[in-house]
Amino acid sequence: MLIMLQLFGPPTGDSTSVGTLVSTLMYLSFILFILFGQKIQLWTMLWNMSGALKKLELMKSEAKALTVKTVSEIGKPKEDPAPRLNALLEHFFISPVDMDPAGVVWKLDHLLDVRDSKFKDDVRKIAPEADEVQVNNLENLVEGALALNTVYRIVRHYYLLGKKTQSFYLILQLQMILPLIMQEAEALVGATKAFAQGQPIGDGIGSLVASKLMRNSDKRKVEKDIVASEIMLDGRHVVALKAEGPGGNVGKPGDAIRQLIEEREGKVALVVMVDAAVKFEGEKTGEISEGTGAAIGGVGTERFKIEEEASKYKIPVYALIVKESIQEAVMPMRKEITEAADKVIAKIKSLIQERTKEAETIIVAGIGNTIGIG
Amino acid sequence: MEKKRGGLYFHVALMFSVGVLVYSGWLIYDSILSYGEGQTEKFYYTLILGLIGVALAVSSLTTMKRRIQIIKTQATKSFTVELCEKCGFKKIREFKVGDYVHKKIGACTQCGGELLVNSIYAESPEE
Repeated sequence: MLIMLQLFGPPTGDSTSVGTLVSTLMYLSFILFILFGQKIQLWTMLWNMSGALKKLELMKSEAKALTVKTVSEIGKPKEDPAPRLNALLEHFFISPVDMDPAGVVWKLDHLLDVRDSKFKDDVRKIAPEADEVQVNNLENLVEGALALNTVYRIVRHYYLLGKKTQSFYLILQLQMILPLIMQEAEALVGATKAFAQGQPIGDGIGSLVASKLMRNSDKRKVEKDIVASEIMLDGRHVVALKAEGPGGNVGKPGDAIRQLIEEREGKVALVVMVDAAVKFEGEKTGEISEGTGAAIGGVGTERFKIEEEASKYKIPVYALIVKESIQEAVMPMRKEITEAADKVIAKIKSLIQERTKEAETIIVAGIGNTIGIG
Repeated sequence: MEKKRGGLYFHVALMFSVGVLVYSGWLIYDSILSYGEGQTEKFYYTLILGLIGVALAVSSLTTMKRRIQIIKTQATKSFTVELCEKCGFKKIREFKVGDYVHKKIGACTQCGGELLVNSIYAESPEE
């Protein structure tokens, strides 16, 4: 304050003109900020957002170009796949009405099945030469590009709406979550690259664990896109299950677990679920945590089925999670996550030794996208 | 072309920020000299200008550094680990399209056993 007074106080001596100019500018800027402070802040935010939007547009275009290139290379379509792909990228999903929540899970489950089969059929049409594994990978790739396109459209919508209405609070809300949106968008770009190459992603750790368990035994198909195999582990019958790979797939583990429990008339001592879970900032990637309950993401339909079945037969459900960031979950699987697989298997062994007796049956469900994992 | 242009902008911005930092440092030095000479008014002007310049240049350089770090963390390389379970022979090579975990590669060059893809992982270049 003292400096300000000294600087912009009554001018003396040689510096009269400079002092007057500076003090006038100061007064003007004060008035300007008092009257238009919020407007200036709004312009700054809009300017920042326009930069972010340009980046998002670039990411979206990059993902789309990669999708077209991969579809053309693998699927060898006779006609240009771009128009059909454009339609797919604008695809939307209407959730069922939940005003009367009874039975909403089954309605949602049905709609998700319809969406999934429509997507696969469309991908098959635009990539006629692709085999089943490639169709699954391409479907994941299209989903990634669709997610990026949706993020871009939503951000652009609020940006333009905010610009049009000059609403400070509308822009402020978007500005606040913009860093998180950008992080997710960058992760999605990484995911599309992984899907295009059929490379395992961080989310696939559950599948990797199950795959390691079932490696030397015969697999059988249970329910939609899920494979299971029985192995002996420390004198216990372990039924390991995962989505059918190596194409990008998550399957329906809820239905599979229900089928396996029903086949055994509820005589299952334990269900162990292995999945990737979002870590908190400051936690190490690849750390393992143990918990209770059904470890499975998504909209909740699969978790509902598992919880229903487990509570019907009073089967304890344990969860083993491998910590990773939301970005790492969709990007190519990092070394720390890969290395966690053997540690998880060791944990499963100690868990079943502590919680079950010999000759009992345990279900180990490896949850997650099985892309790049056979 | 886009990359080259981006690189040029980055270098120009970097040089400009460093220039501002050097000039601001000189202004602060000049202000100290002015103080010694008893020119209080010049001292305050140059000191404040110098400090503002240092703050702007440091802020700009920090943003650039953060951007480089983000780019570095995103750039990863993927590897495939081939393993023979019979003799333990292990080979790490770059990932190629078509690889998947537990894919049978062929016979092991050491013992003739079965060589499998044991794992596929991504790593940042500095790791």
